[in-house]
Amino acid sequence: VQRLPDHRDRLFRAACALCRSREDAEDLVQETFERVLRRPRFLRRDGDLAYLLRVLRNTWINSYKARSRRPQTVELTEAVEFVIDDGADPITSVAELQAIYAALGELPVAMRETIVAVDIVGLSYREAASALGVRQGTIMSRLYRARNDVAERLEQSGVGPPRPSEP
Amino acid sequence: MAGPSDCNNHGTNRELDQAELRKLLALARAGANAQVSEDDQDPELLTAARQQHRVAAVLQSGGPATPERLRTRIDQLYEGQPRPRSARLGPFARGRFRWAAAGSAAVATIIVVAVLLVTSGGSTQPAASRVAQVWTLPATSTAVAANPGNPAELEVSFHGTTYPNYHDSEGWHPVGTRADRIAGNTALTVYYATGNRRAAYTVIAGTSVSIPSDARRFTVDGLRMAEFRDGDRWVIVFPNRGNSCVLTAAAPREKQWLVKLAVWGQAHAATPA
Repeated sequence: VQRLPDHRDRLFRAACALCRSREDAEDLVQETFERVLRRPRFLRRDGDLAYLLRVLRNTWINSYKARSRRPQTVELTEAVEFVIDDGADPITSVAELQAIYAALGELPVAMRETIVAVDIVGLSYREAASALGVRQGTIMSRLYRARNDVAERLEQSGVGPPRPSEP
Repeated sequence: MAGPSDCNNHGTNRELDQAELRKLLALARAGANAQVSEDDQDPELLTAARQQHRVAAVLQSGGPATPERLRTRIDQLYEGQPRPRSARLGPFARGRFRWAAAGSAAVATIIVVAVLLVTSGGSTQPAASRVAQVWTLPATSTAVAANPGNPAELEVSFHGTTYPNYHDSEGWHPVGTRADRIAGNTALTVYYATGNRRAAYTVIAGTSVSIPSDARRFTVDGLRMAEFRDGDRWVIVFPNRGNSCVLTAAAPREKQWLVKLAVWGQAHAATPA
């Protein structure tokens, strides 16, 4: 059984993608846990992550969203250490991760939230729809556009992922 | 269907390919209002599917590493708060079941307390000498940043007790932290060091600690302390905001330094809000 703090890595990654600033991301994750732990509630173990994301998103909208629009003096990719998880796809590189996180920062908020919920936090479409307050179909179409947008930005910048080999 | 739509999306590459392709085909059908068979897939659509899959796969392979100080802070928050209750207990929280559950819990608590009173002499407080053993253990985190609001304190705090950001001419400075559970009580230690000399500043949450009867009790700058020697170490104990602070260092040379650290910490602690 996972404890709430076990989700902190995924939440920190989500916060980095939303905030584009290491300091804001750290503060956002800490504030999220403070809010969740301050008011004990009935939690379903399998719904902890979706609930944490909902609180993180609400906190971000209320306190950090405006800040994330300002130009950053230090780019996120320079301020935090990027790591490849154990057992991850061996052809993934840190440079590729950094490029994708940089591209995420350029996405419109609705698309950024969606790709964060599904690809970074790992929610199902149903959970993501519930956490973000939209329909599943909206999640699917936003995710499609968000991934496409990121792939295009990477291709334009020339630092994107290598083209997948033909089957 | 295995894949992102109905379960965790961290599946195998093959599963993701198929799932993404199905969704793209569905989107294409909806958008063009045309009948598209999976047998005659559009090469552009396939390329888009592969690019989409690649973005998802990379995002699931890693990302920014959580700073150690944030991990520590969240652990502290979690240890210091009541646990969320399980949703599966929901029906018991309503109506007469709530009263029945509360009554059962009260009876169980009385029994547990009675057993503890019989078996442990009425106290679950840890012995200060046991707490002082933390001094011999390694730090588990090196995150000891200063509090931006009060540089005389560390950013680390535990149940309302803050730790001094102590630096002096001898080179003493904070070097790491460690969290423990001692006799059922949570404890957080900040280590200070200079050269190969080391001291531990341990806070035990919400309880007093038992002190040997021959410990010397004294007051410096209004701070009432007890000190005793435990083998090769000096131990100083004083209360703070309902917690117990246990300072430990090598005997005999660090005794005065421990007193200095205790008094300095109290003098520079920010007034609680």
